[in-house]
Amino acid sequence: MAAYMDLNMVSEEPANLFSKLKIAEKLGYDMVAINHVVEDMAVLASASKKEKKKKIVIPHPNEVKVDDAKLRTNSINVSGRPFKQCSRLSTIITDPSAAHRLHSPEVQLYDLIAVQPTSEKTFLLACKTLNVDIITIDVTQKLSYQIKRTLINLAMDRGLFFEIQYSPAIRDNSLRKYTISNAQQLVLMCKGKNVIVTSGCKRPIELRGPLDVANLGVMFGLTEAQAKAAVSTNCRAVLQHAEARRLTKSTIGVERISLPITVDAANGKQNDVSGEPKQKRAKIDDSCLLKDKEAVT
Amino acid sequence: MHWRPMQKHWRVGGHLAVSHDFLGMGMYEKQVSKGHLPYCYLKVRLDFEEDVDPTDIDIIIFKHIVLQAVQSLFGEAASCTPIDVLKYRQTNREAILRVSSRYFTKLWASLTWYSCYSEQSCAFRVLQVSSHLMALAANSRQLSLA
Repeated sequence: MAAYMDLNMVSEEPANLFSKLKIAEKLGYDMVAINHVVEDMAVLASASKKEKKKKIVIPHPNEVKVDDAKLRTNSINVSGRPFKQCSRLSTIITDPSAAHRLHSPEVQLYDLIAVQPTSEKTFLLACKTLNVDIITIDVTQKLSYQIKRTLINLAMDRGLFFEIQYSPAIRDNSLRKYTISNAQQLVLMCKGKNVIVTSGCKRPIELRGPLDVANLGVMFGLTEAQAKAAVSTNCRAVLQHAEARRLTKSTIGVERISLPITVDAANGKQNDVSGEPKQKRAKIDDSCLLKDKEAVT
Repeated sequence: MHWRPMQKHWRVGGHLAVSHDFLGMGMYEKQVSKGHLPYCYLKVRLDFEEDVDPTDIDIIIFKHIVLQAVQSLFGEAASCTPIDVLKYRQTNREAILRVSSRYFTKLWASLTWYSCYSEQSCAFRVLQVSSHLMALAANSRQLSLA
């Protein structure tokens, strides 16, 4: 049985987030992605041009997440698998020229990257070129662009996934209409493949169990198997795609793991010089390999 | 009705399996599908965001909420199918619902979408689902393996 995941849990103050994670664990999820939303990348782009007032700082993924040790205490997981969390950054792209900000290192530190296109132009850009994992379709309003099969196929070839959020419709009944119709249209266009259904919940009560969500997927026009995949195996594929994105054009990844104290001390010094966090995956090249070898010996 | 090579399993529920020696070509299994079982059973719990007095919601109000949920999503036509509350425990608002298996997906979907009763946020938690009532007697996910 594949692990059930919810790849969109809006980040907020730690106490609330923690209660949401606990509810998610209780409902049977094995993994959630904590979503940090940056409203507009264009603001970030202009901030670099000396408009410091508007500057939005993107926090480090570890600041977004809940403390792992705290999460593991009072764990009620009966399946034996530990409950996991990962970080996700999502943004709305209105301006194609600001999209290059997605390639900046502080953004790429996040486990998952999602974009929400707002026009035909940005949808094309997201499907065709952007180096992201998830394309969010804003299902709560009438779509301002047409979902075309050619573009969908492009995105599917690149292993991107389309996201449908259900919580806004639970929060507000009037949004249900558009949610259902847009989701059905999307499912029709991509033939039920490469779709994930996520919550995007703000309060714990808006969260639904994984099988409830799978049943909603059936209502959106997915088959039963596809609907179940939309909360389990497709989500895993997203995570693997994200992994592949960070290790572009390489076959082996080198990861620093915590070593015994004696070696760690030597390692720590090196970390200060390079200034990169310990857990960051290094792209493989010769220099990196050598460096790590030195560190171990 | 269709033929398929004999496998070492027998189906229960709506299937009838009979083995035959088909033209000396080995064992074949004749499967006759009788379709779904007539009913599906759901064990659900109604959770509120804030604490609610348990006496507030009795079985009649509970049934009303379920019907309201179906009616708001699928309208009059779906809400007139028989949905029965077989058992209701008022202390934690847990109930066993019975519905014809044709409308099972619809009922489940409308319970999922339901979010607000008299301006209080609430949610249906579907605990167990089965086409056999007996299966709801125990929940393997709540077994403690101490």
